[in-house]
Amino acid sequence: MGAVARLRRRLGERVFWTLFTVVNLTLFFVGWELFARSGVVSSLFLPEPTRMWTALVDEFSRGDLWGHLGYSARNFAIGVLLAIVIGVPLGLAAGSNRLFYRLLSPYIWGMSSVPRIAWLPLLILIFGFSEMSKLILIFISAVFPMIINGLAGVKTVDRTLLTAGKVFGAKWRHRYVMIVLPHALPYIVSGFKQGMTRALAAVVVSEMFGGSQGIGFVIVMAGQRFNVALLYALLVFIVLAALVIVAVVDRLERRLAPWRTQVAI
Amino acid sequence: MAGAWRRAPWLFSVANVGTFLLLWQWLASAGVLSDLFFPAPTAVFAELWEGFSTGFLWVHIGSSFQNFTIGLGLSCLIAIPLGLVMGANRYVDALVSPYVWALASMPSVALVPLLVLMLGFTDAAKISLIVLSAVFPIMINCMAGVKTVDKSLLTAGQVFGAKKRQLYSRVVLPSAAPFVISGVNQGMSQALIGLVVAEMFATRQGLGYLMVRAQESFNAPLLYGVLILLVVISLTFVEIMRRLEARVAPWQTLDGI
Repeated sequence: MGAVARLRRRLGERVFWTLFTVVNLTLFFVGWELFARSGVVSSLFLPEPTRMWTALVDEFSRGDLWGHLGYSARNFAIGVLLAIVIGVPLGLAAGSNRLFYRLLSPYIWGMSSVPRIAWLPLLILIFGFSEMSKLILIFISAVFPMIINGLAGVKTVDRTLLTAGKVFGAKWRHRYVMIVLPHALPYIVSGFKQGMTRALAAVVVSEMFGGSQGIGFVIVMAGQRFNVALLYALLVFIVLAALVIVAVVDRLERRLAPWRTQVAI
Repeated sequence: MAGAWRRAPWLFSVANVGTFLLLWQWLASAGVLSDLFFPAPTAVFAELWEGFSTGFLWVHIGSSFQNFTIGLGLSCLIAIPLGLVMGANRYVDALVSPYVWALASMPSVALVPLLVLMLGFTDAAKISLIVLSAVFPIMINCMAGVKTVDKSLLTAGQVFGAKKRQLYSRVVLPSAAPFVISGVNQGMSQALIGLVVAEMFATRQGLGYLMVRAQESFNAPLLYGVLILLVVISLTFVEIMRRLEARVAPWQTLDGI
């Protein structure tokens, strides 16, 4: 430990931990490669990273993977946008108006507590294996985190700020724009983050059930054809996509609400 | 009138949901809603009643419940100690966290084809999916719980001569406890998703399988019935956890949200 601690002091915290992660990941993948090559575990279950890479490059160069990704990305975007447009105003309204909240809350809590995926059989029953059932599943998955976070954002506004605003003669509209919305903003953004990760899961699962397009479909096909290298590669690909989404929203969060680093919901 | 609502807020909710169901019943029996897609609530409850009285629902609920508890239990056993250590030790954190974050951000649903390939249509495949769904939220919350301990409390403890072990049990753990609970809470809802997905894809038993079968045989009342069961089950879990949280960390409750 002494040598490591000395190295840490000499390099400085940032460089040291970046280096640490790089070495960590490199060792992980090299170890994986060697372990897979040794043949202890059947290559059917554990492909080498190099084989995963070639499988992915193969699939891209044959051209159909781009189409599937585009299809998934489009469904994701439509579902998430609809969820934002409908969910955020609904959440804000439910947070501001007590009666509206009481009216809506049993359905919000009921709907959001069901595992989202469980809606899929019902949607397939009603809409068939169509794009509509996929989009609605994505929408349902994404909309409740947005509603609930919008709601929480409004409900947790500091009362004294509102009273102060009133005392100083701010109109309702002004209080809303100057006090409530800035407070609710970080909550809304964290709702985006939850909603988007859930939407991603919904995209994948809706394509795994029926249909012949999208990354979920490619994953199922890879599994059925025992193309494990491609299967692993696609999983890694999905991880990267999810990390990019989270990173983008994180950046948005830091820009919109630099005074709070974390929202406790 | 308004006073009555305020004194018994649940009365409002009962009236609210009751009106909704009555309206639905009326629209369904008037033939406005197609009973293939939106069966009347009475038909749904009749289906549920029949399922419970013939006992076939119990079999599926039992199977789901068993896999769920085993999966969630395993997740807690793995995730809580590891998460706490990750929060306490910078090196362990840096070593493990790239993988934890990567897997946590992956929709665990995508793992189904791989698990089926490796383990077949077994309970092991289902439990693995549940664990893979639940373990990371729990771990991350435990880690956050240890990391956000108020430093001045630790310093105060040290100044007053507390040993490392005492600092852990008296300062770190109590302050991490609400995070652990909220991690288990999140893990639970993820586990429920993992359970339903696994059953939808890979079995002949459980509530997820029942829904797929109901969909394939156009049995809409059963489908709605199972959805209602899932709502009741998950709300029960949420309530249990809320009680637990109120007991473990009474200062943490977020009332009115």
